[in-house]
Amino acid sequence: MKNVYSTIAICAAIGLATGCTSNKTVDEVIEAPQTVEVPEVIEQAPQVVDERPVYIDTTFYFEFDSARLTSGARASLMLHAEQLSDSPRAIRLEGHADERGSREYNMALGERRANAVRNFLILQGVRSSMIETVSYGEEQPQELGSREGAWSKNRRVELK
Amino acid sequence: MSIRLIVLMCLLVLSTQGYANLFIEINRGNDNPAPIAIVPFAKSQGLPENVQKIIAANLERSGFFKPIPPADMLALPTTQEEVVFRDWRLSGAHFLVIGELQKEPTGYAVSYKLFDVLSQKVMHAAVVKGSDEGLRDISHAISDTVYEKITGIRGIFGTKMLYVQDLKRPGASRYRLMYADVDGARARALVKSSQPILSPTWSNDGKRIAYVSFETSRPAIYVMNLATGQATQMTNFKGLNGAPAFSPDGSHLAMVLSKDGSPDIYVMNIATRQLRRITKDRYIDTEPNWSVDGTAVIFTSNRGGSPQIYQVNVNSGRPERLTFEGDYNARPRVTPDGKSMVMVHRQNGVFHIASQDMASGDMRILTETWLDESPSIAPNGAMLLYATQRNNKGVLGAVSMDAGIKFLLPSGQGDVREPAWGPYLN
Amino acid sequence: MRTFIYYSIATLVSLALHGGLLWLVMSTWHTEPEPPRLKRPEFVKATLVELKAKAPKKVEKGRKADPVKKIDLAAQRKKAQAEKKRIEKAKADKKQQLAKQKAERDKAARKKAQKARQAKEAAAKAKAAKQKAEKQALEKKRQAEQAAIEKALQEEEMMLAQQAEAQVVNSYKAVIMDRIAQKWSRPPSARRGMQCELVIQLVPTGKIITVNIVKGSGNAAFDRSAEQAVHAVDQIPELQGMDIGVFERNFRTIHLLFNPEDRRL
Repeated sequence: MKNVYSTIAICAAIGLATGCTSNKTVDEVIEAPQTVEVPEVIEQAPQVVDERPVYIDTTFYFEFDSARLTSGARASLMLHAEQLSDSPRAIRLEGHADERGSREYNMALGERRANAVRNFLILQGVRSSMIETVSYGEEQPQELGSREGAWSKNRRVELK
Repeated sequence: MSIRLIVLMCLLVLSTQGYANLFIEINRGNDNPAPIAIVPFAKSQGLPENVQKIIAANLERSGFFKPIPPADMLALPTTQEEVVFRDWRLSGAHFLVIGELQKEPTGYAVSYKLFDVLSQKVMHAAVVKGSDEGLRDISHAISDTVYEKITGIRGIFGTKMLYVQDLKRPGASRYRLMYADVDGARARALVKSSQPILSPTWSNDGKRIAYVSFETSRPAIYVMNLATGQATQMTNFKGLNGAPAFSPDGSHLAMVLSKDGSPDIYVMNIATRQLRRITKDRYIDTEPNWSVDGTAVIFTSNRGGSPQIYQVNVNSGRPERLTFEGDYNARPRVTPDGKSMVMVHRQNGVFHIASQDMASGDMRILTETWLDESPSIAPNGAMLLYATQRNNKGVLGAVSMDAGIKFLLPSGQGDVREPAWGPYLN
Repeated sequence: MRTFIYYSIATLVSLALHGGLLWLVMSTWHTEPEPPRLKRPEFVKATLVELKAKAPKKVEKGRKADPVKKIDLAAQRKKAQAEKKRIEKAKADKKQQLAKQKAERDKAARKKAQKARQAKEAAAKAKAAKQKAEKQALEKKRQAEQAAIEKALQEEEMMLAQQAEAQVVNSYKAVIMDRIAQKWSRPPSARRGMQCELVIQLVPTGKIITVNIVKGSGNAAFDRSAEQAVHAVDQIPELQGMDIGVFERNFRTIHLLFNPEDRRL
């Protein structure tokens, strides 16, 4: 049990460190993923899942024109990473943007967001071959409306 | 005393010069629409299309004309002999169009005359022929000629547009790629899909279009031959496949792909499918648009921290930044004369369409609506279509390049967006 | 370039007129309530007084010189008679000897006196002629000066009249400019920098009877819009009440330069 917590702590530290740096750093880190601790996590995973709530956030939100993960998103993603490491499955990350700005730029922005999530999961030990990313830009809003309330819900990545 | 005399002398000299040739400079005017009377054409009653109405609506939408309703006309002449200029002057008309429609074995022939009421002159006379279903085409052709004769600018009423319609309810035909007259009439779906369709664009000859569809659950670029309706998938790369743009000669497609990491600009030879990478960096580079001569690509990039417009020569490949005003400039489109470009520009948190002079860099905001995007310039360079919102509904707007004329197009079901103004169809 | 010159002239005229008027108003009409018309006689009077004072002086001088010369002539005659008496007394003494001498002397004296008289008379005559010429020259000069003054006077009067007319013309120019500008509906192809020059002919009712393009912009639609604006105006009713002379001098033929400076593009 202690072991699990220390693993989480290490992961959190790494996550925090990478989260505080730019996307560029994230990109660079992916090229040499730190998979050292992955086996340990897999061994301990069943116990963790039993003690956690079944539901983990599958939607992660972003600031305008930004692909930076929030700390909340990182926490949730770490739990997802544990789950996925425990019971691997193919996942699809769908990146979205709010309606403001141009459509193709938002398409690129959605991809950036999906990639940020993808890179974070890979960092947590999820195999890259199991992750598909796609961006829908502003084409599929979660909530209709032209106010910040709706916009903030549409700047997101959905894990499916 | 003597100084006063000199001043008087000067006044005398100058004023006598004025006497010789009284000169008045008219350095301002009005931009009121010109009143024009389009008299219902002879033998045009009881037909499937109202030619007079179509022409009047076209001219009115251009913003430069104010058609006089037939109910306000003192007479309804159909031949030149019946025209009494004095009456038309009294009606306030500056221009007058009369005509006659003849049924021919295969279609119609419309002869018409355009008059300058104030100078009491015939400006133009012609006959236009069309098929049985071609009354709208005939009407647009007459509108184009009348517009050109009076304004000195080629008319665009006979051109077509593409746009995307989203019915906003799940189903096999939720997303539609629409093809219509620029007045919105005769709209028909070229593509229907349950998945998003975006970025429609024309080849310069008007024979092919390109667009992005998610029908394979991932984005891919398609090229459609309009005559056959046949669509060909051009790309199927990992990541982004978007923002297609035909080169001026129609041989290449510029596009954005992220297959090599981050979104970059590529140029594909349509015949050989050979790809050439134009930009190579870890930032977002997207929304390519060709320069008029086809030597450069103008695109959006966030390499400077925020989206801005850059230009890159397709052969030398060193991008040069073009926009410096504001923190959001995206999706450039170059005017047909190459002298300026339009783009999505954010000002005080609101997204407008702005134009920028290529030479001076002066930027001007053209629209007053908000959430404006996807500007598409008419082939005559006088107006542009763009997408905006009204009452939480996506609608199309039009604005003249000098921002003097602004209007919204009537909208149908769901959201309409991403207008793409077609080229002249000769 | 040409249009620039027109423009410059127009600007200069306007500036000069306004500047001049302003200056006049500031320096003269404001500080002295008298209109300039009342100031003019002062200028003329001063010159005339000077001229009159000069002319009589010269005439008096000539009159004074005349009597002096006449007195000299009388004295010399008296002297010659006295000498003759003295010679007759001596003749009684040496009658025969001196008779010839006396006759000769007498003759010589008479001759001399006659000569002297003739000389004196010629001198006087010349002097008089000279005086007359001088007088004439002086008169001529005076007349010329008088003419110059009259001319200046006339010019100034004209100047003032024309200045007043220029004011009137300018006010009507503004009316015409305004009426045409209101009717000038520019085509969308109109751009700043395009210029079209028309010449129009009017009749005193203010009706525009002919319109001709003398210099086009190269854009037929733009030129036509200018022509149409004039046709649309058709008549400048304000010109009806105008003095016919002012109309003929200024408004029979008008050049119009259409220059859309208010266009954004």
